[in-house]
Amino acid sequence: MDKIFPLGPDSMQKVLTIAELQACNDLTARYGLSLSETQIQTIAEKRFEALKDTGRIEFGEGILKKLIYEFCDSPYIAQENYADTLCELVDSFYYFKNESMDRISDEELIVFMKRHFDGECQGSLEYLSGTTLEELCRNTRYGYETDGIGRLF
Amino acid sequence: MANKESSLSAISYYNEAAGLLTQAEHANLQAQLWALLARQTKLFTMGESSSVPVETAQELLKSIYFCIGIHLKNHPSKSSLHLQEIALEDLFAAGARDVWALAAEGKSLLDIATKTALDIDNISYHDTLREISGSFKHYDIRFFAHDIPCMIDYQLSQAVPDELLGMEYINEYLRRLIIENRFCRCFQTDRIVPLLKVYCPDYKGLLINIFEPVLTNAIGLALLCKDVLSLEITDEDRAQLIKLFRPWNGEAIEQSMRHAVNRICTILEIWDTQTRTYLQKSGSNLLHQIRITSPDSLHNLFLPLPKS
Repeated sequence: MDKIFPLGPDSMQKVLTIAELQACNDLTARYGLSLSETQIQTIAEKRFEALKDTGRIEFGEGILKKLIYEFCDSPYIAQENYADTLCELVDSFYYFKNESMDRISDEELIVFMKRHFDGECQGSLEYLSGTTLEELCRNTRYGYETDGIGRLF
Repeated sequence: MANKESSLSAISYYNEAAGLLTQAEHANLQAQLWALLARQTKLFTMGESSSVPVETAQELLKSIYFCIGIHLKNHPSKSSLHLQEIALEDLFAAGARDVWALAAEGKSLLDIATKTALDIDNISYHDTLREISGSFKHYDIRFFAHDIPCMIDYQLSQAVPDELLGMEYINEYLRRLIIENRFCRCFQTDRIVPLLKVYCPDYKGLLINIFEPVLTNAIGLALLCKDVLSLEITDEDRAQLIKLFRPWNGEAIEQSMRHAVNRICTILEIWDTQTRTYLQKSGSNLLHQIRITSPDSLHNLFLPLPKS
């Protein structure tokens, strides 16, 4: 089957991803954030790398635009750390999609990440992925009911 | 019974048809396939996830291949033409309808299998029927049409080819089971059960095939022109069978075997071609076993009924 259909026309998706990231600059400009062409290339490649590392495949737009739209107004993201933070967030996102066994939707996970990144994590990606997201995924895997912000009932 | 062409899996049909396309046609097909997979993935995740594990995507893709393959299989002379001229989405939709039809056929076959089920206490036999019955509720034609959503423990005399998937596999399994059931029902249960006890003392608990020892003894008796319904092969009968097999003349013994099976079919009034073909194939398999069994061990093939 792999000979007939190698999953993923990567080159086409990469072109679309780059175009998408360029378009996002229009929105994020008002928050003083923008991505250079080099950074866009890096983030586009990071997306495919993260997908490959986590054994996932993505169709259509992907989550980059959603991540940018959600995080662009974070008080802990500035122009200096914008690109690096996005790369880390992409990594964390796909990793924790797997860890949650796909039981959390994209939107729920992104909203959760943003809320806690701005809240108790105070901009620390390490705290976000090492503590908060681990707890969320553990609760999800064990079927515990949580409120809209991931806390156990 | 599945002939050679229909025993090719639906996915193989798709691959064969796709292999006949030009490079440009193939590229177009790939693009359509990608779009179809993207759509299926979106439906599967209900739009809540833009990504899925690769394994999930591969299963969704297999299901797409399977549905399209089923449709192409129903139109074997036009397979490549369909791939060239009809939108893949439409082929997929048509294939899904064909799979629904297979599922409906499967329910009918299950009904027959249940009605012809043997009144013999064997755990794997009855568990398998229950499993297949329950599988229709779990069979997901939309996303995993290639899947076989049940455990099939009971081993048939002639196993269904592994290349068949989904409802194709289940339907073919049921067809073969019905043939075996109907054959065994020609014999009295109080003849079969003692035979099974000799065949396998724990015939109730272990994974045995009920049909094989019954057919084997019937063939032995038919070769000797004795009463096949008795299933009783004595030591003298066995000695005569050894004399019959001793020359090991390939063509002669094969012909004898074919005549024995035909004789059984006549006695049991089995006229349909599928059943006769199945029995002939089983006879042929028995012949292979006879060839590799030493004369001293023939009692392990042609079993003696225990003296009551």
